[in-house]
Amino acid sequence: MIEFVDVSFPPVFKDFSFRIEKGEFFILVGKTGAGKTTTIRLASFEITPKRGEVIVMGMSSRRISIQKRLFVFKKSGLFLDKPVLFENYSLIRNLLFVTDGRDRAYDSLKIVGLLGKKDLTTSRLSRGERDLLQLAILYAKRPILAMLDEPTVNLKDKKWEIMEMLAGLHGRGTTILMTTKDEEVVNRFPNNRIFML
Amino acid sequence: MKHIITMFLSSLFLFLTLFYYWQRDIEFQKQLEKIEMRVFIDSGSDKEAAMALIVNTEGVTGLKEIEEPDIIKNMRGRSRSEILDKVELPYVMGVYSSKREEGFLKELAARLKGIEGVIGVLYGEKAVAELWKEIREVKIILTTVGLILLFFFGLSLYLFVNSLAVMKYSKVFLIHGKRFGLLRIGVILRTMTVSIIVASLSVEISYLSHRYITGSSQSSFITNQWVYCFIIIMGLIGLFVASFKKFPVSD
Repeated sequence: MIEFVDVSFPPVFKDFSFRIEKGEFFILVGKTGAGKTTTIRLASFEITPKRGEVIVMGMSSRRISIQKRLFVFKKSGLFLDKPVLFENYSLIRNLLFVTDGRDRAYDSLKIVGLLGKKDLTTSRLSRGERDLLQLAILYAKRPILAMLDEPTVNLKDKKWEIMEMLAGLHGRGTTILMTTKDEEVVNRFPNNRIFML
Repeated sequence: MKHIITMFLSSLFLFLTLFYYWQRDIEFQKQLEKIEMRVFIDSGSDKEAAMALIVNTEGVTGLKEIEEPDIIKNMRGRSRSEILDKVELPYVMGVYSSKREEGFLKELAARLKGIEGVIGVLYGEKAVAELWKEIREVKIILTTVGLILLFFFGLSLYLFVNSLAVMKYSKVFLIHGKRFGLLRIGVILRTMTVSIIVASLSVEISYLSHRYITGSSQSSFITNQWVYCFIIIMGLIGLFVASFKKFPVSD
């Protein structure tokens, strides 16, 4: 599903390689500045490596285009450090953008605890709530690949609910690439493949 | 908002430039209509033959014979001098040309001079040259001013498109794998609407100012055809800018 082949991105990586198979729950662990966010940015083709190759769903970073990125993103879900949302839209409209099912949208908001704020404008949410909305969107989208950049960092009090949610998503067949620096999370999910940076 | 104000000011001044050009063009056309060639035919030659040749000359659209001026007739009548009676003045013809460009008139005059019996062609060469010099100068100045204003209009429109919230939404579209077609249509509609409204407002304000200054609704304002052209062109600029503006998805 995702493959990094001798990826160099100075000064963060040099000849960095790993491979995530379809259906895996892959946790990338590293301290601040280790390259967790860079990995997600590379895997989402936001940036391209100086050397080496990143392959996601068969699309190579060497021949990437907007069309190919759209193809990858149509089937994947992203949780970013800086949430990308429709700021002037309500929460429910943000969800209905990725799913036609109104029930699924409501369910997703309910899971993250934002159902009561479904009609609120996104720009009025707190940082933590914006992250919860990102998770709700990701959950409602039911992607085949989910890439999450430290989803628990701003939601420490809800991290186990989030991890349960991701486990549920994984159980439905979604391949997951998640970054974290939280050792508790790593220790509690020992069955997942963990990669240290 | 500041981009819309700049856009409006550019559009307003652009329309005023166009209005000024339209007025000057009417004046120039009136002056050009006055241009008439005087062809002098030797009184001893075959007048009918010379007239036929003149009519058949390329670029000539009309010919009229100009009678001997009354002052000459009176002089002949009052004078008892035989010499004056014997004086044969050349026939004078008024010739109208299809075009009134300086170069064309010069060429036509040269062609007419080549006709047998024609002894002279006059059309106020110096005045025509002066008029065309003035026309050229006005055209150059107004075109330059117009292009500068058009550039500012396009630039403000570009910055306006940049500031649209939907432009930022291209990132949302991208991360969810949605094509930009709908987003593009939204940008185009917004931009074209703003361009057309701004252009129409410029026309409206110019019209009201014109009426206020001249104090009459009967005074001539730029024709509807020019107004529609102006608004359509501004709308098309909006369409062009919105169609080719890249989304900031690679930021």
